[in-house]
Amino acid sequence: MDWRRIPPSALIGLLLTLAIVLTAVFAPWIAPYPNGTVIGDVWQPASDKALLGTDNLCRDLLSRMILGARITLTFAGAATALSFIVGSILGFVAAVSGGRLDQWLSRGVDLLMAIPTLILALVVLSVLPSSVTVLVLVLGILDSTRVFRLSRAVAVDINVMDYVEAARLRGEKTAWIVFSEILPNALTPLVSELGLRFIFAVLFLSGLSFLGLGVQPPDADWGAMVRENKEGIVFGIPAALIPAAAIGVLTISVNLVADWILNRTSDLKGGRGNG
Amino acid sequence: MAESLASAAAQPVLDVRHLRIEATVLAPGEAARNILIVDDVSLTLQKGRVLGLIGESGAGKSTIGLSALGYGRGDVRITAGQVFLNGKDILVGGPAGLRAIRGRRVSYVAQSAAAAFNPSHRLMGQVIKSALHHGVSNRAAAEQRAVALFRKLGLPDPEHFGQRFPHQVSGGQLQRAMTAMALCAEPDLIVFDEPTTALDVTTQIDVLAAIKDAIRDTGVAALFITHDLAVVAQVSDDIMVLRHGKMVEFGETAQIIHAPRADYTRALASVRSIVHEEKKPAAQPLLEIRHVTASYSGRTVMMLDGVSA
Repeated sequence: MDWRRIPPSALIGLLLTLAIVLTAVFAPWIAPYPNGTVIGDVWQPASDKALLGTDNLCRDLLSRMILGARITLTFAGAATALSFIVGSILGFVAAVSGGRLDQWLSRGVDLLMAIPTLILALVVLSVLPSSVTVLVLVLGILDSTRVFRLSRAVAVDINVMDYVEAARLRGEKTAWIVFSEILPNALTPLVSELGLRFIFAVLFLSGLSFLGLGVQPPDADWGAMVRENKEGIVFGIPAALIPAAAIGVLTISVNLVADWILNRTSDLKGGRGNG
Repeated sequence: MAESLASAAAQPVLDVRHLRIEATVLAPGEAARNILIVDDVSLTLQKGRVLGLIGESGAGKSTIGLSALGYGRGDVRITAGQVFLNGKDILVGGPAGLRAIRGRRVSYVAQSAAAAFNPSHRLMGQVIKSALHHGVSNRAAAEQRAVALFRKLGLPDPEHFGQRFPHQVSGGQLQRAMTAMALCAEPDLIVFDEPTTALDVTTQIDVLAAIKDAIRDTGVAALFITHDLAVVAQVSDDIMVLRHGKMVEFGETAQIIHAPRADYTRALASVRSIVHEEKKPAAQPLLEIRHVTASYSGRTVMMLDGVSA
């Protein structure tokens, strides 16, 4: 690949995403203080000792941010990956098979979507033990209903294309039709959805943490850190704005990369892209 | 004569007996009803022969062609009759049996090659897919055969043609690539479903000639579906005329063209000689093009250079 052909916006997105990912991977080694270390007073301004100041419980905000990057990315990344794998495969299979299977899957998804996501998550998480696996499964499966609907709608359109019929007339099985004929042509809408879903997962996670059912203290994701420090805003203390800004930067950089991938895939098909 | 008797004694590649095909129509506000698409059609096709199926739109030509693959579009289903391929009834094997013959024993060339190629994959992968899928040959041998077929079908730069995406080649080239795809797994029968209808007249002639050569060189049997008597006259040995799902007339190509027996065939043959009265060209041009230059972005190949019309 030629690096000079990547547009500047995508390059910025790639660099920022890469920086956040690297921070998350090497978090325990980069963070100046271990998790939960009390280093001074409440909401101290930035100093040599604490580069971003301290939070509501006198801990170094920078260390919390770095450690929070790992938690945020792991949870949101795993939940998004799960939702896309489950949602898109089931959506494609429903569209290609049609008939009773399609009805069962689609109505099941309707049922799940009829219950407000947060309330459903609350019920499930208060019954099940609060662990990483459970949290990722709940987030992933709830989000997969949205992905299912999108994938099914896109695949129903693709399924009636002549090249899918041509594949059937070549003696292809359903699995091949799903992965080789439908998936590459459904990638454009799915990738654009991916960028959005990832960010929703971050926000949903912070929503759950706010209610005490997400990440458990002393660990914290960025969303939880906004909540912890939000009272400070009244006193003009910007501690809550730093994790909020980090979520914003993550959102924008992930979507810049998603847009670029989108342009490239449609470029392959002689489409609208120019990346 | 002796030759035709000998080939008639051999087992036909395709033997369709008393085929009856129906579809269910679900019109809004009405009860579902069955309509008859093909009614008691029988045909046999020997190795190396080309049978033209001709008739107006809705005559059941494509439906009969697809039945050779055991396939019905939408709600279309075969309700009676048998389809023997190399002496074996394909309709009793179930879905797995059909998958085993589709693309391997019988292949299909669609009307619109532009729509029948997956836009996300390069041509080579799609052309050799059925050969790989059915285990006819390994990748290297299949690619070699595809390149040989590209050359035989007169495609430009056959060595590298397969590296392109479907949108990067013209409609006529795609139709030839589709023929290469159909031939690549060395089937016994190819169903050509109006392969030249979507092309302009000059491209039609080129593609037809290429298809004809390829059929002759490989000795494959072919069902050639078209509504154009001039097209079918060029490629087929025999012609079957269909109307409303029933056979009207069957005979050798020369007989159908020059001495049709049925009134309907005569009408079909004479349609081509109707002279249209042309309208006078408008005084004002509807479309004017001045010095248009076009090229692919970022590339040096000029597609159009200062064209005016």
